[in-house]
Amino acid sequence: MEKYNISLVVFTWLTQASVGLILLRAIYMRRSSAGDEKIYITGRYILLTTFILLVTGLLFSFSHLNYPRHAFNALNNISTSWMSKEILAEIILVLILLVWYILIGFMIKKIPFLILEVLAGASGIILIYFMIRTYMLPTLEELNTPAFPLSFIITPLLAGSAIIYFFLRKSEPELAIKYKMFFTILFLFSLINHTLFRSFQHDLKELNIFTAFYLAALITSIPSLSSTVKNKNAISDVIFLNLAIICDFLNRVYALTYTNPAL
Amino acid sequence: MKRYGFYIDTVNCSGCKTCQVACQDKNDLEPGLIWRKIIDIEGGKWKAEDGVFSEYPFAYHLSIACNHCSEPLCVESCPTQAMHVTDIGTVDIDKDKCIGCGYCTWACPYDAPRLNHQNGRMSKCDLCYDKIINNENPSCVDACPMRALDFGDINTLREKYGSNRTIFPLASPALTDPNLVIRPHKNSLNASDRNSLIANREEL
Repeated sequence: MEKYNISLVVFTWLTQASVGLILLRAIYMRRSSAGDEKIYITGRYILLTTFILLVTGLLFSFSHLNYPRHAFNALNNISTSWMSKEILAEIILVLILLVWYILIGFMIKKIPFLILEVLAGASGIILIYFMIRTYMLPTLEELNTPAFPLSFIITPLLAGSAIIYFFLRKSEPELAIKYKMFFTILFLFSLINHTLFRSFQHDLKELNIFTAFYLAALITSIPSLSSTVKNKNAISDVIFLNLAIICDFLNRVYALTYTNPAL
Repeated sequence: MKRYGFYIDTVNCSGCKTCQVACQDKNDLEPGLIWRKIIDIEGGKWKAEDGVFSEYPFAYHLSIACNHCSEPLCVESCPTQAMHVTDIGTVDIDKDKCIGCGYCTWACPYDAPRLNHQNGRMSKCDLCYDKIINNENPSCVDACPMRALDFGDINTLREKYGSNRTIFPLASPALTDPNLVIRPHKNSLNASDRNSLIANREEL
């Protein structure tokens, strides 16, 4: 019996990517030396991307409901259901980002964006926590390993740093290299974590595709690392980052679809 | 609150699936949707005795549905409160609230809630609510030709049959405090992940 749905996998991944973007955007806004106007414009684009990813994720989450007409009932059990809490946190985050983007759009610079930044960051972290708890049910033994929650922490930072790297690659190459280095370290963590996660599983079928992608990403990481050492951005970075992102996504597909279903 | 439960006799169960068919017939379930499933467990080992290898195969059947647990994780997890405990202590689904997300299936260690593709909402054994409030047995119990199923107040069942609730491959009863009593097949005592398997997984 199929217990999970690919749209749910996409939902978790996109939502986590947007949370990572919120957190890493905050670092960009403080570390960039590109000038106020440029930082403001890049920050706005990153925020728009975050919002689009989050809303797309939310739409995907709707598509896994078999009776979406009753979707408003999903907030009925906030006291005991982690899924209700997760949905509430997701809605709050969407609203915060919407207000934030509208205010930026109207160029209301007097509004203290730091408050919205902190609120969005905190809501994002709480949302990730609720997501982890949603899946770590005591009955889902295969997800009750340290590797699973760790993957929900690595993904936001991995996806966030990759997207910001693509934003900065041409305009602010020096800062982009720092995001690339951070990404590479996270990818290695992700690889170790995925290996650990697999070691907890009884059923090792259907894994060749994952291994193949991880190997390809590892191979392409070599020229990318070489360019990083030379303090440059190369075309190999783009290939490496894309492959590594695919690996992380496949890792999620594996975790939520190919693990042994409960009886 | 009074709690109802099932007694399952795995010694006498022949795996004929009459209980499953009776359940489907009574509840008018679409083909493929099963609220009571029959798990066929097979296993065995070889033993070397005086230079001769002897085989020790075994098989037994387990008829299982919703166990209307005293601490139902499905009720706790359901985001809509569609999954609820009824006035007579059984666990049921309110179709007017259910969104068909399937989260109750993840939470249930017995995989009892199933998606009804016809109406897009979750469905499960309601212990034949309409029958038991009229002091009748659930359909599966009455249909069993081997008298391997029984039903009633869980305390009465435990007085009559004992209190065992575990058998391979069921999850630990500590998870949800299920209201069931199992008479274990003698070979189930040796069954484990290492020497046994579910032979009909595709049917479940």
